[in-house]
Amino acid sequence: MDLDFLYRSFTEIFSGENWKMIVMWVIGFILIYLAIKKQLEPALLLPMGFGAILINLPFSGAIDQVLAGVLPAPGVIEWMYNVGIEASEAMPLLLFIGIGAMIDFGPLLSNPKLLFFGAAAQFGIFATVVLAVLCGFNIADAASAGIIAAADGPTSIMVGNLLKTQYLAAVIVVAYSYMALVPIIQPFAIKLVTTKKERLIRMPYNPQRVTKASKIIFPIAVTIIAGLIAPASIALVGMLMFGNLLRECGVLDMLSDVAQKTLANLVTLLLGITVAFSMKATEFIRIETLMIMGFGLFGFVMDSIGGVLFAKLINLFLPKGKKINPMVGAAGISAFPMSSRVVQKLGIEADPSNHLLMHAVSANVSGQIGSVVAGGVVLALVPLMLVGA
Amino acid sequence: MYSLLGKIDLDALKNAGDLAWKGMLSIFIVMALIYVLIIVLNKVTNKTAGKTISLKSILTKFTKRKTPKEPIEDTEQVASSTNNNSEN
Repeated sequence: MDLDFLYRSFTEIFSGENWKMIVMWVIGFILIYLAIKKQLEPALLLPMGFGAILINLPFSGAIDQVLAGVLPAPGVIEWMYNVGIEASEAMPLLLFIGIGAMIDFGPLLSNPKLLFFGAAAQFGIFATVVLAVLCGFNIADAASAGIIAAADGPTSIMVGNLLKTQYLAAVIVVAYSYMALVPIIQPFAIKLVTTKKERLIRMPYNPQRVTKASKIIFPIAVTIIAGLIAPASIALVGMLMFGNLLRECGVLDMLSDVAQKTLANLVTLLLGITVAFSMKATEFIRIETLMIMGFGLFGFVMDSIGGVLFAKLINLFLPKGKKINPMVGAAGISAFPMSSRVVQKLGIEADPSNHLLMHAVSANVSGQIGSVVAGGVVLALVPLMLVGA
Repeated sequence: MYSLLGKIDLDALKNAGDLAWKGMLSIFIVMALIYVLIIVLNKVTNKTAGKTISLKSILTKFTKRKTPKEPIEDTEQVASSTNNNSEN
């Protein structure tokens, strides 16, 4: 009786480059450890970590195989990846409906001047693209690495996948990991470019009244504006704003609730394990993965610096007493609400009675719009460059 | 020019520079348009909301004028009307 199949996987794992699979198990364990022990984006890192182990087993049935060299056996994770990410981008886009339903644009509508920080803090994306090209990446891979600095997981997945980067797995893992590290990265970056005196600047909070009509018209109008200027961003912006419209319309509370909780949780759960498909050992274990980790860190730091320096620039034109605390500029990234909390914490650290939270929330919410617009702009420009090349 | 991964593609570098300035400019343009939108929205909707409130207050005043309070003549009448109401 032929019982080779019982130990075939054991011998296979030590043949050729399959030792890399064991390294992927270790990476999987690390992701699960970070999720459970350090609680870093557990909803995503845990499924990703488990998925990394699942697909890096010899002859794993979770991905497509050909049994005995003749019978095709489709794998569920590969199928979910092909359908939910590669073919339609459905998973990241559906997640955006949930995110949109969670966002309250009220603080931004009542204090709109902070909207521009959502643009300035996208600086890290483009600084990273230049750095990646300087390190020898082609423009598509560099743009995919740069989009990590959008601090927006679904946008990173969508841009990386549409630009067909070979480093998609690294981009996704780094994007989500660094988002969880915002409370560590941002204080360092902010303190690097601000003085104690600047961190002490007080900002009076005088919000304008925001009507329900404003909140309803806003998502529709933003979709039209973003769609006309950066049509490539319309899927991202549109889904985000659709989710927000569900929240604000006032007649679909049940759907809004489902989008915020059930839909967002379900898609996150499936997304985590599905993107693990791109974490195949042969594609993940290479020097470029480490470089992308470096780019991600650089991008997050440059985002914060970009936002802070923009605030300082605006302060040159503002009268005394109306100046903006430059730290608020750093909250213009998409990582919500971590970034606002960081700014509030640093404000209180400098002066226990200086509360910057509401200003930071306005900038942070605008960063969520900024990141999807940035994704759309990258998707609009890079393919033109690839065609030109 | 050489980098960690080999020769730097100067065309790619030029493209990265282009992407950087065009990208930042586009995001600022979109944000500027959204800013204008918010300002207009806030002005228009707050104005409308104000009108609604004042119209409501006018209507309330008008209704009040139409049903003037009648002077109560004696305390017995008040007591009987209170009793009737409570029974109802």
